[in-house]
Amino acid sequence: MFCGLLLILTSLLLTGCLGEVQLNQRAIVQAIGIDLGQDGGVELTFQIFAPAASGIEISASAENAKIITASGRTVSEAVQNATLTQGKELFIGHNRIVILSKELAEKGVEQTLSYFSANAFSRQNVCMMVSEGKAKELLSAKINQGILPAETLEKIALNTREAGMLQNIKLFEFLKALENKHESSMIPVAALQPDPEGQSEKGGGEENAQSGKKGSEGGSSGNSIEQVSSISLVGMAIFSEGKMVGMLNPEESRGLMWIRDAVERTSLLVSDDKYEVASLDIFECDSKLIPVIEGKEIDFILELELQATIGEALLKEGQTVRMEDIDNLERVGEELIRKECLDAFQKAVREFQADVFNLGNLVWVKDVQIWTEIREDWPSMLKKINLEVRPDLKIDRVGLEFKSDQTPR
Amino acid sequence: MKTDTIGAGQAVLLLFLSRCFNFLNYIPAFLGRAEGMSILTGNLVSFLLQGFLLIPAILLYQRFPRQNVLEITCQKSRIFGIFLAVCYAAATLLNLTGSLVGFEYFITNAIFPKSPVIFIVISMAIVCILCARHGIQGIGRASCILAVYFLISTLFINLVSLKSADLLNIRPITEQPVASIARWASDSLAKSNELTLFILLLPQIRSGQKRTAAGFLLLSLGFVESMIFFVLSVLGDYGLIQTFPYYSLASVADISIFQRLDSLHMMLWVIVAFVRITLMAIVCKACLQTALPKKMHGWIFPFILAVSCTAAILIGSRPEIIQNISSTNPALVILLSAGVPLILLLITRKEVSPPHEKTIESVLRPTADPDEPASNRVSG
Amino acid sequence: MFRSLKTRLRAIQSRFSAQEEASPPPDPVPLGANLLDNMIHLRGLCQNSSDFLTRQIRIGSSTLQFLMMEGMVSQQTMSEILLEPLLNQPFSPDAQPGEIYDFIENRSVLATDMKDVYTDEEVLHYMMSGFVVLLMDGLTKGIAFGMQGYNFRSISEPSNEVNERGSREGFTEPIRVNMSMVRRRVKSPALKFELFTLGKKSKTDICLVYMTDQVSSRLLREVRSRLQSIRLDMILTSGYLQPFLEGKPWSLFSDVGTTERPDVLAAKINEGRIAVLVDGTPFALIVPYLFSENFQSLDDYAHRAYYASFIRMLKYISFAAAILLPALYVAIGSFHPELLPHALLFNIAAAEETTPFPLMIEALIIHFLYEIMREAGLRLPRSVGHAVSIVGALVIGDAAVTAGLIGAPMVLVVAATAIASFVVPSLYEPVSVLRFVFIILGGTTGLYGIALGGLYLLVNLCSLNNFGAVYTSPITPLSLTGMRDTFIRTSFTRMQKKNVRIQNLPGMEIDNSQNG
Repeated sequence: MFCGLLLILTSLLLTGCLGEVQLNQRAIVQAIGIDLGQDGGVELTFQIFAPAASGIEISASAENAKIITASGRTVSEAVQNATLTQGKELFIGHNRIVILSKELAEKGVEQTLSYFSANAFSRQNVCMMVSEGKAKELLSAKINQGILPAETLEKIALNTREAGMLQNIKLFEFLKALENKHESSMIPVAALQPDPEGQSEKGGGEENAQSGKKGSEGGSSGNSIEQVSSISLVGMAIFSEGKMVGMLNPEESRGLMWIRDAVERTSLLVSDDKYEVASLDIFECDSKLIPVIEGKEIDFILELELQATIGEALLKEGQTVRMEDIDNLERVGEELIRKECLDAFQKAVREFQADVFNLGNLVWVKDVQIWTEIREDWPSMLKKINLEVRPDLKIDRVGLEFKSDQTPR
Repeated sequence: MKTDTIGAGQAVLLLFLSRCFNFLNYIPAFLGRAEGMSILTGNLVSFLLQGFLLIPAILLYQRFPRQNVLEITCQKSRIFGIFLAVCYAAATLLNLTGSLVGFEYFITNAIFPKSPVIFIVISMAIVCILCARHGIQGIGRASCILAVYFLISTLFINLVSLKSADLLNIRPITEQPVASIARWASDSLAKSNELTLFILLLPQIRSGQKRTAAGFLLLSLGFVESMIFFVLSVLGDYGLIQTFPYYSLASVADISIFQRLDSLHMMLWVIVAFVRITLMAIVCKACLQTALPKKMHGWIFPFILAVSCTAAILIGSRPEIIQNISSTNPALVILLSAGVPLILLLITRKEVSPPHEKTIESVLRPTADPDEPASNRVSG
Repeated sequence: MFRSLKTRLRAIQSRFSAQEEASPPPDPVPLGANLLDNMIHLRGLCQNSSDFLTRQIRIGSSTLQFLMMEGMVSQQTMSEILLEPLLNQPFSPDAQPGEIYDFIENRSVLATDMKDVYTDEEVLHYMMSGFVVLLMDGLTKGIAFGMQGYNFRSISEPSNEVNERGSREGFTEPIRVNMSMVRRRVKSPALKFELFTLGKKSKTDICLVYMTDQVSSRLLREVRSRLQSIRLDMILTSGYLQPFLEGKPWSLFSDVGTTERPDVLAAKINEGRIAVLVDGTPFALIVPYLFSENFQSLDDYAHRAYYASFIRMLKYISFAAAILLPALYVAIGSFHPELLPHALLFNIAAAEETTPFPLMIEALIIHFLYEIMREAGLRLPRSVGHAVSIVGALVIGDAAVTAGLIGAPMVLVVAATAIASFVVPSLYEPVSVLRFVFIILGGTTGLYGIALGGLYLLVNLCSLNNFGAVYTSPITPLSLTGMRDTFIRTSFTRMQKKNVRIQNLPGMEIDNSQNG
């Protein structure tokens, strides 16, 4: 036993080369932004955690973050160049979000993302975003929520399930779609809102509501409270073979969500003959795509099952409602869902020829023979696919208010 | 008479953990792309084949209880016995080195990219050889505890990744189903070195040898199939281009505060590599003990340590050799685990020999002379 | 009529107490008939020591000499039970020694514990054990009367094994008091005490305690042979015997248990174990000892089953935490910070921003300081003890952090570890050392090193099988009957269904063990 201990202790002398880095020598990267640099290279922006007050206390504020920029021909060269400007080793194990600029996305992201896939420290389930302008601007924006702005950026991406209009995509899901030629993927797009200097911008407040934040009236300093953030999500970008081929705005992209079975909660605004406007809060949604294959003719049926409750309701002048009128609301809701689905399908599949709904895999699993034949021509076959939507909406609860008529039965 | 024995349950878990190393360390990139269903079916076929391969060994054991193939051969002809023992020892040593290399490959690729090969190899080899000196009882009992921890952790990782699982990602086979399945089956068979270990360990198992074989095969089959299922359904084809697919699965799975399960996974890896290397060292020593005279027995473990470390360090610096030694040729496994017992069965068709206890006692006992009185025993 | 029995008993007794050696001390000299010669010889052996007391009286025509050691004999007992009846007995004026001997031996009960002594060694041995030895002129043997009256510590609560609902009695120093405490609790004829002496100079009384209907005879023979092989001069505490009974003296974990409580001892011997009582120490040894016994305490059997199970789990978790918590903290902070949740990592990073030492050095310094303080608190006289705790809290807690020497999370880790290590007191020694080993492993090689170290420790634990008893039983090899009292404690209705004997647990080789 003693010899054993001695042997082990001597072998410990070989350490020191295992890559031990003390915490105060690590620059903890929280967000990475990738822009197209000059000469076709990339320009990277890192947001790192640099506490304003070192010691025990950290306050939750935007002062806890700093920016590092570096450029190079590839991502790894840029990371290497980043160490030339500061004294800590970059640690990307805690990275939360990767933001690609729109220019880069249109040029093609496969080569850029291979760094994150191969690196031992990077996480495969980071969130992804495309930025309307430069990624650097997004990362440099001041956000007053969370310990540092990158945390809020990640939470904006994760919060998409509240609104049900956009979907958060993780890196490995994107890379998985990239592996197959016939699959496509999508990433949410964020944009920097213009800074409302001294103006009360209701539009800005509403757009912030889209990403789930409550913003009060804008104002930089002085006698009004600052806005939480100036970033908001503006749509979904569709990628095909690693290149961005188009973008859908939030209303259109909800249709994508219906078909992908990615909606958890959302709110539909409908109106019929009795209701001026009613908001149906959908709290449960299941959708299933079923392929129908006849020879080389492939069509799909989308079956949706939804459950909703009535949110706010404004009746038309002089109208009262009864429980039976809910059925009408259901029908109107279903119509709206059908329209959204078909619009999204039209745009994504027919127009952009992007198979974001796993249509190819569904055919593959159902009928291997046909798939081996049509596999090569799948992008052109996408144009001819028809979608039949069969939504089934049930409103089984009405909320705390219900303006029924006064007539006793 | 007493020998260094383990129970059937301990043997099952020992072999199972050893088998799991192969699975965790599996690098699909070396075999090329394939559809999900062919992998699943190929593994099923290979386990069925392994069941058949073990039949000659069990029949031989029933004919000659308490003896393994080496002892039976030694009784017949000493020369052949030594030759066979050296063959088995060489095969086991090769597997040991392969396991060391595979383990080091994982650590240097996934956990410590900046570490030198020599450190990982030497530290692991030293700890394993030191534990192998305690004999099979120590590692057998430890493997029960480790197996519980292992199963719970993998169950946890699987449950957490269940929410991202999608059956669509497991593709059916498009072309040449038989060839594709056969390729994966033979690859899985080529990695089943536990069969050789099992037949050499047969005398050590106190009772229920058939139960051990059946239990080990079923448990391994269930585990491997479920793991492949989860990797494919969550990661799909992306998983097949990863160097270590299960490791990627563990790093992707997250639920509330458990964000990075890949370091938990690294512990699992260390555990199964440790069990496998220790077990192989014990069996290799046993084989060499039958071949060498008694006064050299003390040098066997240092010899194993030196050879495996040197070979592993040399191979570890050249990844192309790693691909070559992860062979997909099951011939060696089939020969050693089924061929030799089958030949012995045919040769000794009409004989039944009494159990030769002296030989067994000297084999597979920790380094202590049984004739020493207890109070003078030196430990360590 | 009892003489043959006595001779046989004496033969067995002398076999246990005989010291066969080539070197001196010289062979015992039998007593001669001349009293004066005997007295000169005995005094010479004792170097005329000041506590060698004698008292001579004449009865009839015989000279009687009472020998005793100062302070060992109860004067009241001696005068009431021994001297008074003897002096009041109407002997004839020319009574011969044989007659007086016959009266004492066969016709009276002057003491319950009476023995014949034949050699000078036996005389001295009994005198030093608190007996009064009677020598008569003309008689070649003496009689020893048991009238111990020396002072000893009264029965008090054991300080190391505190509990809520068990008895407050702990062992004391004299072995006979301890034996009586055990006998009072186990009123079964199967309970047997086997006394013999060990130690060339100290001739300490050692007692083996076991239940004849439970114990394995092989185990008994093994224990006896190991104890007989001891060649020490002095046996002062049970700790002297422990290395001879252990399987691997170099091992971190001890596979010989100790206890200070008679009820615990009684419970253990009922499972087929053997206890060793040592005169002069309140700690009894118990063999064989399993790892899971470290986590069992008598309190578990007084509480309700659910609470007892909860406390057991707590003990296992505390044990793991006491060893691994600082090592994990150091390893994760230095090598794998991606394992921590974001907010925690930020707090730790901010705290470590301005500290001068790496995490491993911080951990080592603080734990070392803590050990110093703990040891100082043990050895200091009670009056100064308070100062130690105040200084400790100040130094470790406040000043070190404010001075920027260590980070605040490290203080929390140290505090949690320290408290956790006291939950299982019997494992305190291995835990303290292992903690440092794992900190070094974790700080130099990260989680990989901790995993390797843990595996090595586990295999070493699993391969301990002193006396053939597997140390990690009943966890592995698994025994469901044994497991009902390991991680949880099932109710007594279930426990009464089957009696557990340690040699019957699976994997045990106590009955057919030929070595340790």
